Amino acid sequence: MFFRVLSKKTVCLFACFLPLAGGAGAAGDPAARSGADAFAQLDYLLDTPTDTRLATGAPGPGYWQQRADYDIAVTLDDEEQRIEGRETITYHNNSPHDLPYLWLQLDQNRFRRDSDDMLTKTAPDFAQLSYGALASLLERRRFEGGVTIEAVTGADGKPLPHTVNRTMMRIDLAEPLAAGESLSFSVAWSHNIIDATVVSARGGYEYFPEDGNYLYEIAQWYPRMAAYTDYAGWQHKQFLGRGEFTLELGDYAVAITVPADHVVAATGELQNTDDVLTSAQRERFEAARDSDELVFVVTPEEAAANAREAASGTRTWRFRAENVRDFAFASSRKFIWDARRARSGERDVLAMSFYPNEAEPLWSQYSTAAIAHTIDVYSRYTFEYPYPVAISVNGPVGGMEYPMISFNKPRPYADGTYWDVTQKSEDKTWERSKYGLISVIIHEVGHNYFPMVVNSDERQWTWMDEGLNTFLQFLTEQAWEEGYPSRRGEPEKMTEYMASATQVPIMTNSESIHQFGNNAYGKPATALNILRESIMGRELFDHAFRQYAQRWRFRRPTPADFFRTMEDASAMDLDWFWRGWFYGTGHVDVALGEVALYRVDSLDPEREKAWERAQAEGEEPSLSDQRNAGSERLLDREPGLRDFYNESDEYRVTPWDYAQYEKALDQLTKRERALLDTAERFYVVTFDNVGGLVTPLPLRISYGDGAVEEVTVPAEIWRRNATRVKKLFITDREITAIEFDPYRSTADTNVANNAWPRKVVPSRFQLFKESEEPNPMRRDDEDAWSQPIR
Amino acid sequence: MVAAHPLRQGRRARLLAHALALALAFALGLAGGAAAHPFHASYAELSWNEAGDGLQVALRIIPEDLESALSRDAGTRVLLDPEAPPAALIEAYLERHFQVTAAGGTSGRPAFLGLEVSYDETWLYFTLPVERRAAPLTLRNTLLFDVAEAQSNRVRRLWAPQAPVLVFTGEEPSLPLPVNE
Repeated sequence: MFFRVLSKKTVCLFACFLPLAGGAGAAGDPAARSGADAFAQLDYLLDTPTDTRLATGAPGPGYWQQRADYDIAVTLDDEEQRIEGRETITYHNNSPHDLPYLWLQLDQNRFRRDSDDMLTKTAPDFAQLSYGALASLLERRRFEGGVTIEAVTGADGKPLPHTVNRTMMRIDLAEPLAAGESLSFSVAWSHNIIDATVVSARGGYEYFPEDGNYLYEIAQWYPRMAAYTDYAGWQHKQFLGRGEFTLELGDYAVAITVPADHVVAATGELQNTDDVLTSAQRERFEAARDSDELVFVVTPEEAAANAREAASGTRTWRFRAENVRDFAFASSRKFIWDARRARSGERDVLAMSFYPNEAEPLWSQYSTAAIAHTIDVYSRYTFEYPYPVAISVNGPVGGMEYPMISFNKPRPYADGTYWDVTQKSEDKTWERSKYGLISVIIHEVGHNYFPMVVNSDERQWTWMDEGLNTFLQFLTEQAWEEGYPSRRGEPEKMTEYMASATQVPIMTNSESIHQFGNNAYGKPATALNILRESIMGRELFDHAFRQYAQRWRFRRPTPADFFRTMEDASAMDLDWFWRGWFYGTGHVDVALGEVALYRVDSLDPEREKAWERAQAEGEEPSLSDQRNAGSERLLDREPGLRDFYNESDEYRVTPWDYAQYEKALDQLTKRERALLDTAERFYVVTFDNVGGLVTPLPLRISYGDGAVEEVTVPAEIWRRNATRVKKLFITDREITAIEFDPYRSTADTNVANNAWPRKVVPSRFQLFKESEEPNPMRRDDEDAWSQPIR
Repeated sequence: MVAAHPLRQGRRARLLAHALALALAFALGLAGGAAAHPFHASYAELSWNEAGDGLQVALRIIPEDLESALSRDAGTRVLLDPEAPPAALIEAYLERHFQVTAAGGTSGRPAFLGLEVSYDETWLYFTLPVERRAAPLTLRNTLLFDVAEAQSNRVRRLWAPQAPVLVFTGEEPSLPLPVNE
């Protein structure tokens, strides 16, 4: 123990004990990594603010975006599984630029045998080739995929020169389309429809051999205007299959000609109910608009009867959709159709589901209810749902989202049991199918907000819609029922991904992402959840997030707009957070290291020497001292060898001590003398940042009197040293325990180093082996739980 | 009579088995390439038993994906029922897809202990006979590669909690398994 007067102006603190050592672990040299790096402003990583996009993250006075209106007539060939269509596009050049040519997306060309998607596929490992992958490879080889462009003509009917570059088509204009001008032109095309039960696709057909019918989910099916933006020019990155798309907003009038007995679900509002519905169906359809209970527009019995025999002839369904960025539809004679009113703030929305009898009994129970719930919750966090309808369709695709309509795959087995487990009320596992369906519908319907209305670019930044949407999906799931088993959202669900060896930053382009689901969906959702719960707080976060959604509603945001808006609306510098979570691959692993206790040296020799004596007497004797106790020593036999030092009491207060005390007091002011009477304890706790990602420090502190206190140290404590920090806690009570992240709110990947004193954290395996408790399904059955669990 | 070449006979038998299995996969509706979820990942925690002659494994997995794999293997629909788990099927699947090799050979057949099933987290527990002293070891983890093309499997060694989590992918199905860290 050392006693040292530091200077006359320094309050002298003495280390009393160092009860805990270690814990620094892999942090390395504490001085090696500067907090300045972790807290560096994003600066060059973000686009320079302009008149178009402000430094606040809001659209500026010069903001512009293009617009494309479509008039489409399409025929679905149920014999050949083929689409033939003709469209007239009116393109509005709202940019300040003259455009010498226009680019359109031809996503169906992804299915050509010579597409980039096919040509850049690497060889599979045949030792592990899945049956699905093999079937898909063979079907891709067999399928006559790709778009046939029949004609491209101007408003005058004359052909327009055009060039197809894989999944993109350029139309060359005789004269540049001037800024502020509009242009109409037409495209006629056709393509085969792929079997979506074999090939992973966002649209396609499913064949039902039992009744010989087809179910079509048609998406990314017409030549669509590529986006032209202020930040990237034309978005014409080739479609390789993963990075979905962004498009221009516009109004659609679509006439869909299908077999006469088909039922069609589509983006937009049905315009000709008189032509395509029976009078009874029309009545039910209208009744559903004002009903909070489910109404069958087409009943299961009617759908079953419809599926038994195909009618002859065709029928045209007409839809209109305003201010949407795409259009998709589904068609089958097998569809049941249910509907009910959903509420979005003050707005009424017609929620509808279309599914075959094969989807029952799950779908009529949950699909439309999940749509209504999604609209209710999402609207509260963003804006009112702006469209008149919201649709969920069951078919071979799933899940996949389009404006007002989504395709969701979960379905029970043919025998009526649920999707992947038996349907027994006492069997808890059946919940998996139910929650699987509810979760995917929440997710896909939720995409109406991100990216259908907040029109971010998924071909470039998957996380901007998938991540934000998965975050809101978690909130919506948790609002469904207490304890909803969300697969993503809670920080602890993301820890092993974040500690994994091969990662890429969230900001990586869609086609280059490794571990796609966790990178683009799970990690950003977790990040936002942590931002909301642990860093900004719900009030600040919700306000800022709503600001972002409303600022960019029907506009086209970039990551910088999101990052800046969240800061602009909250007065929080979050650059460190974006840098760490979105631009980096570090993870949270904070080790709670040394805990040291200091107290003020009063300088009073009587008090201090008494304290020293107590410390010395309180120390356990060594083993040697214990075993030598009472044995005769040399000085016992020869007392003459004893001198002053053998006889003196080192803790006795001497006149010299008093003199030194008086001398020291003389050098202090009255205020400084008063500080010598400080009774508080000074605990210095060392935190090591093992994982590299800086984080707030939520702490639970336990005191000797039984009290427990919770305190969160903001992440900015790492701003000078991102590797190791020491935090001072001043208290008048003894601290007996400190725990970092008691509520698992930071995604800390190693909880074994989170507590002082250390806590033994049993492995999941140990817990399973040692558990003698019956599982929840057995607890009500004594005969069952009296048996050992294997 | 000319005897068929043993190798060709073997290949024919395998091809036939493969074709039958593929037909079965279609019949079961398992061949679809479109995935119902984008999270094709498993996670395993490894620890040694006290004797150091066996790995204890807690494996988190997407239950419907494992059911798809087991159903294909069994030729009928298989459910992960905790009350009556398909232990033999699971062990056979693990034996093919979760192997530790040392200079002296490959780990033996896993011993399945049980499972906990829920929608958000389904855990399997099993042990794998392998000697720690036989290091250097290599882990080959191809779980569910036969279900989802983009499957990745993460493994954490609890004896090295601060070491990076190992990631097994189609491109890297085998990785060294350090035991002394």
